[in-house]
Amino acid sequence: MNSFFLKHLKKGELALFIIFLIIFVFFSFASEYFFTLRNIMNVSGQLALTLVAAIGFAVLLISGEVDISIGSLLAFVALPLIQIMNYTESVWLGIIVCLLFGACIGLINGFLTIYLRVSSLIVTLGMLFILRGIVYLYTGQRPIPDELYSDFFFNIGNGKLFGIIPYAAMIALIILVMFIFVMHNTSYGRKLYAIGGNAEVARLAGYNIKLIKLSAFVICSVLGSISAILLASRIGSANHVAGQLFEFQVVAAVVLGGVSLAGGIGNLGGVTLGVLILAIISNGLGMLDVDTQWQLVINGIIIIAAVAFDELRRKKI
Amino acid sequence: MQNLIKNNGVILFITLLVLCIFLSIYNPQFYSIQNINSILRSSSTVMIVALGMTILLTSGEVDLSVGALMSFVTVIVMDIINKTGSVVLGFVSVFLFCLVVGLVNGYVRTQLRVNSLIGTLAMMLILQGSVYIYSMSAIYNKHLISFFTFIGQGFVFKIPMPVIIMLAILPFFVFLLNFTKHGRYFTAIGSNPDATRLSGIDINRYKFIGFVITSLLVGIAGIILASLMDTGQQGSAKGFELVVIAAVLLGGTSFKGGSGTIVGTILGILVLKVINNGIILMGIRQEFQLVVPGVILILAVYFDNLRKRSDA
Amino acid sequence: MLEHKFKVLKVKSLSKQFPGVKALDNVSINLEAGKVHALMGENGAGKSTLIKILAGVFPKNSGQIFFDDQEVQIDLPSDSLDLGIKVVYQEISLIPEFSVGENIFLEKFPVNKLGVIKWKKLFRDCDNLFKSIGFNLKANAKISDLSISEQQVVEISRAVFQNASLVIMDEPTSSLTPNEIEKLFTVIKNLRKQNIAILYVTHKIDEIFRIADEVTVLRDGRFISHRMIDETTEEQIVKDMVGREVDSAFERPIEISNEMILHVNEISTKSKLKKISFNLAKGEILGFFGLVGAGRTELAKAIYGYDKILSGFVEINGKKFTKYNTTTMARQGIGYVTEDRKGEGIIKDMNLRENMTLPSLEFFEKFFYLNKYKEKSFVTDYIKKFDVRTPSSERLITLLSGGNQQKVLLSRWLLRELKIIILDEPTRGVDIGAKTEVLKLINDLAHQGMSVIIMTSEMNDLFSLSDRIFVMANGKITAEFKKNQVTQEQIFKASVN
Repeated sequence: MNSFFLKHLKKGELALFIIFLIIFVFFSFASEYFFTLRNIMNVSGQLALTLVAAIGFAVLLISGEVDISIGSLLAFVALPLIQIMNYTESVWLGIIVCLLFGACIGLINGFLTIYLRVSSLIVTLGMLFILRGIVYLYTGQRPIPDELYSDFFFNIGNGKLFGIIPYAAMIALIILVMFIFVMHNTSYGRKLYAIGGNAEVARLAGYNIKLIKLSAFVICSVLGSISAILLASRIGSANHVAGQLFEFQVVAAVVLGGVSLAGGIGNLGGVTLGVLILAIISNGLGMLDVDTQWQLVINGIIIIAAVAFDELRRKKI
Repeated sequence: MQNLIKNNGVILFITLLVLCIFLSIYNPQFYSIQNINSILRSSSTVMIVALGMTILLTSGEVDLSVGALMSFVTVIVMDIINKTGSVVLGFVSVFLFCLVVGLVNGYVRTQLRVNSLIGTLAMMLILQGSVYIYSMSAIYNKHLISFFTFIGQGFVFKIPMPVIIMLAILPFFVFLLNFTKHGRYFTAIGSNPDATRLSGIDINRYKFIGFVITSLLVGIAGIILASLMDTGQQGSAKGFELVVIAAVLLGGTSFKGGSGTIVGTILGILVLKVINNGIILMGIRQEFQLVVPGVILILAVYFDNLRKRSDA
Repeated sequence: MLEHKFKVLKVKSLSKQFPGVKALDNVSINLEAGKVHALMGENGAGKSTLIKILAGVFPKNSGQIFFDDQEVQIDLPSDSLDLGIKVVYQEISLIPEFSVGENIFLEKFPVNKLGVIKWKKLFRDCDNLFKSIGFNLKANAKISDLSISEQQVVEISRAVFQNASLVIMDEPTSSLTPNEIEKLFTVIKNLRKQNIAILYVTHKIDEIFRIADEVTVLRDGRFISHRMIDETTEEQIVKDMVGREVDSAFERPIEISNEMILHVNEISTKSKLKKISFNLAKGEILGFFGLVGAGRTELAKAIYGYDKILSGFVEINGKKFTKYNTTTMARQGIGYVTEDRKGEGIIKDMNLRENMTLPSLEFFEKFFYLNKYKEKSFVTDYIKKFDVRTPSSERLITLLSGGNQQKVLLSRWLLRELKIIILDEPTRGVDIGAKTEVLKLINDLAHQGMSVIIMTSEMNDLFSLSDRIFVMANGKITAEFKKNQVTQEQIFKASVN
């Protein structure tokens, strides 16, 4: 990695890292179960889900667009996944079709935003409801259980390497490293930043903005589909309420991680820290027997605070 | 521009007529008094909040927390009246609560400069979460005060009470938006906030007012809903904000200024509610009720965009 | 990117008409490779119109452009770029979050087969480029961390990298320190060596004598003169720029009343203003002159409460204000007419009547009811008074011409009883006939006891109306003159500090 990247990483993310450490230390003292290997590994398995989706969301946000339907997407693409697995007994076929469905949704979102010129916020807001509605319709409001009981599928979400390191966390880590590389070291990645940062300059530089943005939508949905696979593996079914309010967790994590809602600013390292911080907060609060409903409240407050801070930072620039 | 708005109303009216005729033929239950009253009642609560939402959208803001707030209101009002036996105390608590929410929304927007879409979305989350902290389970009507039940379920000259309440509030807003200087200010703020500021108008004050009015109206609608359900239910108004916004947009109001007509909004609500009703009557799976507002929202904004582009 | 540079870019008889005003009238200019050609003129002389036509922002109405001997058409920005023409504006067109190197290579990053960026090559090539220009900057610095002058040079480097044939610089030194200006001049000299033509647009006469080879002067959209630098003098150029007959001034009272109505005390703002102080008497007209970026609009907005002041205070009729907004000022009887008609002036979804009455709606309301008929009759009166060309008061404001819109914005405040009115470029975009009407109107208002602060870059307006003239530059007041005791040249010199 070039020195520019490292220098860039230091400034904003240092603060986040410190916050992470403080919270981590606090919960380690507050609850005896928190700082155990078992707990940490469990948490990392859970947050792998959020992280993968957050990466996709961040990539799209950096290019200047948004997709708030990922929660519904999680439930939606799990349907073909589970159904195909059940009927064809092939896990890989299910995974492939699931990813294809995700890609299609991404294409639709992108098409509506770019070619029909409807704001991506509106498009994906509508998609949020449409996908959820389709899920309810198809499942009759009952989860569709995994009937294949494939060990392989189970391990994706729940298995642990050497009995300790969750495969889910490893998958997330691989994706993270991959995308950090792409965003900072490839022409494609830099173009995403440029388009989000100053679309007019990018246009004059001859970038194919439409195509690049479209691909960002697809990336977001495909990564969301990967999250869906992890989730389906963990809960053993395609659940009609899966992913509800998930989009807010992702948004909170991404904005907390320093990605600007206006586009063009932010990096995946910050996003990871954002996901980590939110994950240990909810885990820690759970250890202290605090109601899960508080999570919504906290997410809401974090979003407001992070956005207000983002606005302030932008004004200064 | 005037023509387009008129056209909007005409299209909606025709759509409504066609839908009603079609449904009446398909299932005579449609025009039964119970059914019509049910449609009218649920339309009234939407309309009441739509009045506030119109003000907000016209001035370039939005409030996505109305659904969550409405659910919370049903819980509060039922709980307080159960515990104190006083309807007045229940109402006062609701209005105070709504006032605070409205003020916070206004504060987040004007002082913290957070975009209202995000700010009220976050408020929605906060309310959705905190309602369960207030009470984990639904709150049933234990007080059985007839006045309270009358609000939602009663009739005046055979017209459902919610409609009466809505009709009582309506003229005030029609007057406000169309015949006072404040209505003019809201439109100006939405169309060009800088120019409005330079004309000596305090736009922050008006934005605050918009949020507070909307939240208070949600209070009224929430009380009606609680009375109808005889319960305070945490998730009772989920998706409500979407219906309200879709209705206001259908009525001709658009983001960033330019107010549609009240008549258009009423027609828009009726169309949406009749569609929902039709879904039930025709035995179509109820889950479609989620899909329909989503699709309509996208279409409504798309056409609104088209309209703005051709005007520009 | 360009294949070969031109030897001469000839612009012949360029004209450009906007509704109500002829921005360029038969202007010709030749740009030679390797030479610095200065373009001078006051605000509104037509300089930026010429630049925009060369940049392909909008098309010319008539005239021809020749690339050596071949005629070319510039209809789009891409046409201009294809010809190797690059404009360096004051607003940078870089990606702030990127490094310098990434911005230089924005069009095409050096990549390997997989699309991975070769950072070493990128930064190395970048450093080489900077060496050839004589610029010392780290290629991996982030743009948003750089100073304005450094960002400027990055933009220029981009141009060189893209093999530009003509670099147009629009007021390049307006935000630079003397040190930075030296650095810029070094860069320009190196550009010359690379056979790039440079069009240097500026107000600063002393600079062109240091860096330019030749100078063309425009005035009121017309070509006035073309001279070689070593064959002319500063005085000659200033004369070319301003030399016109100033219209006879309006009748102004000999003695302005002593009653001080507004006292501005050392106000400063975040963006620009530094401790501005002045007084305004009742019935007095103050004219503020200055170049673009001098801070006049900022001053107007700060007095009016649109922008926050960081220190100092404003006193109106003895009442002191340190924290205030536009509502406060409007209530004190101050009105404001913006220079940015489209962005901050007209409300495009409303019609003429609604636009005109916006600040004065209280006068038409009784018990909350807004009397539209009363509104309409008032508005119709004013339409007649100012000869606003419109079939009715209900016409959508966007359908009116710029000049008529301006009249509406002016009359906006006249329905109230104002003590002070602040006008920012009130005659901009208004045709000659209407201009006189507007000026007369302002004079009448002053006669009736209203105090006027007028920001303008039109010498004509300045001299016709002002009792006192203030000159601003760089956020400060650099000079104060009494009318009849100053020449155009003096004013101009004071504005270039």
